[in-house]
Amino acid sequence: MSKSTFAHEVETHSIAGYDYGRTGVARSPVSLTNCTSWRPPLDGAPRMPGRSSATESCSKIARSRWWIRGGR
Amino acid sequence: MDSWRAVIGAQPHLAKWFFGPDGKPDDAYKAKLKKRFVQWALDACFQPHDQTWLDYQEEIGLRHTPEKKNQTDGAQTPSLVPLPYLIAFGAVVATTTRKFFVDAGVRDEELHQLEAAWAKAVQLHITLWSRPYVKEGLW
Repeated sequence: MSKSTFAHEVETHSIAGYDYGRTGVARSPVSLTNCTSWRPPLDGAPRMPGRSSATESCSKIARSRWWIRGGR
Repeated sequence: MDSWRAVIGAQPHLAKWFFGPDGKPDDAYKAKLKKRFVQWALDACFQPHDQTWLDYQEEIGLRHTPEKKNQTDGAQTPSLVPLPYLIAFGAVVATTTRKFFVDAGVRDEELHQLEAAWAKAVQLHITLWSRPYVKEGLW
């Protein structure tokens, strides 16, 4: 499978105003510690066996089944 | 993505936040937003949850408020997407994916798991986007 098969690996520099990880982006007053303190209820829903969180499930399923097929 | 945007376009109370001073949709602005919206969905699935991710959710939230809305694109649309609309639209994004997952061949328990995972991911992001709307000391 070629690397370019993955839709999330698009060239983000071509997206005007997309500044993920760039300098000049706001600093969140929310820390990971704070986020973790209220995030568990969101992750408490059904999980795929062996997967640590709902978001991780989303990521892994998407990676394996959806985006690869051009589901975007 | 197009189906989500169609919801906005079809409802004047949602669409008006993307109108220019002439009272018509600012199509250039909307086109730029669409590309970033697509990338947000990808990031929601693939980016690690670290401080960089938290910072960018703050940035996205701010870009819905007078502090930063329109700045990125030099647009002249209203300076705010009111928080209730942001939250309400989140429900649309969170709950309308089934058709696409089914079309991609996802079925049964895996479908339920994926729908739940996506809904929770959207809820998490909307919560973080709401942070700039919250009064000091009330977060």
